[in-house]
Amino acid sequence: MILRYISKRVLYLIPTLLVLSFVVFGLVRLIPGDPVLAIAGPDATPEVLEEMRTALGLNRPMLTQYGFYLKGLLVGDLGTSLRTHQQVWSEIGRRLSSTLELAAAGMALSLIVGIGLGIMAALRPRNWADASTRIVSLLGVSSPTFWTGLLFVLAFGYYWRLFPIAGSGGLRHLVLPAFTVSLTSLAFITRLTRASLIEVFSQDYIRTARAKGASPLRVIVHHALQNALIAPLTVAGLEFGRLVSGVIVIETIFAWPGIGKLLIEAIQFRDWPVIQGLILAFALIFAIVNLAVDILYGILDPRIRLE
Amino acid sequence: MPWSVRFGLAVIGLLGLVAVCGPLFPLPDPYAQNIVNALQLPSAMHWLGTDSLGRDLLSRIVAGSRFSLLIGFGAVAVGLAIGLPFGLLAGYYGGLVDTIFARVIDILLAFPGIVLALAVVAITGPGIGNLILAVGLRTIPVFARVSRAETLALRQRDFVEAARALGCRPYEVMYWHILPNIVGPLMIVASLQTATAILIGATLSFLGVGVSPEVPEWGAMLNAGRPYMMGHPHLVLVPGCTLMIAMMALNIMGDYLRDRLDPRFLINRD
Repeated sequence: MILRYISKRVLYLIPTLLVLSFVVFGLVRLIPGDPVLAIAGPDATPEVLEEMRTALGLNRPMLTQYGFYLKGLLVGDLGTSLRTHQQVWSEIGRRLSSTLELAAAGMALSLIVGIGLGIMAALRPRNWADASTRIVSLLGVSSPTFWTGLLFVLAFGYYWRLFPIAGSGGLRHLVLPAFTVSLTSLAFITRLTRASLIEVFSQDYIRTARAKGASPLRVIVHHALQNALIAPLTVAGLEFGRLVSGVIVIETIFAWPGIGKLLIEAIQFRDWPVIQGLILAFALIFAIVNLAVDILYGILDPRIRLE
Repeated sequence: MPWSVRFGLAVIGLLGLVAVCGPLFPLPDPYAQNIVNALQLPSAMHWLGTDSLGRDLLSRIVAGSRFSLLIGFGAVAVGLAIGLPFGLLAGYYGGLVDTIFARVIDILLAFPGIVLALAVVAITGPGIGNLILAVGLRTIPVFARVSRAETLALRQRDFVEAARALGCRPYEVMYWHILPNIVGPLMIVASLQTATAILIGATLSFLGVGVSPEVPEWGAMLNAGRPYMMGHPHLVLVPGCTLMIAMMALNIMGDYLRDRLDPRFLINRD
């Protein structure tokens, strides 16, 4: 039965991605201005422009162009970068692992620290630890990612030179960017865990467990956490999406060589094939992660599977 | 009213006041460049110092508040204008309309966070109008979902049935009966979305693809101050703190409204 749930979700993914690719393709074609002119420059003669158009297949009807694009997608050919003249998929592929590394580290940090802090805050409601956690998490939710990133660059790159602030290449390089990118999600997960756990604590079965003599530790870990963690884990999928978009900014600030930085550069250079490919890549990553979270959620909470 | 909410209200009030009455204050022109005076620390003449082109930082912050509020309200307006009727119709009619609704929303939501907004500004180019459009596009699915959920819940209620039995046409039912009742939750979502919209607008401007360069938007100011930040941290600290405080105030207000008016929205921060 789990298999049916999973396969249903996976099958649903395919038409969504198809429509997505068409939308992205159409969007890029909407750009005002002639891309051939942009590549060739203003001095090119009409013959050269026409030649380029034929070579790039731009003089075919849009649906035909889309057909070619789709065919290319299936074999992994995403076109050639207008800027560096390399294959788009190789440009993306080279940087994808860096971005995933950063995103995974950020996600892990925000989950582990967030849930941990949330548990701590829920265990001692109303005292200063709880209040300060709430204030800090409010700050975390409200602070723009690029702002905290810049603060960290100033603090740790300039005033106390503890961590490197540019480039990748080791755990030390990962610390600042991962921490920055995790901050907003961390704050949110902390708040959510705390609220969820407090609500679970007030339930009858917790009282029963304590009355039966279970140790506080067992009560928390075995009874309360399982149910309290449903909410943060659901949100984790959403938060990963937010994380991925936060990564774009972080990569620019910390000069982390990932696809986020590539996207910004591509937009500034109007490198359409790369932009197209990257948007699809982001959507794909997001979709896969959401699918994974849905599946996980279905496993954890049997009620969902019955839908 | 808890103190945090008073604080939030005060900040928002101040923001609104400054945004509306900004030009009336006796401050230097936020666009006036004066390279001789560039990169000065706060002084008697320039209360918050000057930026890299000699422009007074305080007047730029004040001017920036207009842009931030413009982006925030503009994006929410776009989201409401399109998302609200869409969700209302989908919730009321159900069936095919609802299915189409779900697909379109799925597509809009398939892109994480700022990727969608980035895609839009990549196509349309920089500029505040395009920025509002881009950020607004992201808020549409949020409002659409909320209005659909609320409409679905209300459709079963007796007063709606009574209205229909009395012969009200569909749009009359939607306009006179359903719409006034979904305004509450929508206002909550709107307040939280304003904060998000301002944040995304600032992020895009920081990345250089939002407003045009000389516009004193807070995110753009952070970007402009970045090369000089090592020796002149105030260029970055001032707009950053302003942004943060404004966001905090909006979040506090949104949370308070949510807790007071509708305890259902526990997870809806998106």
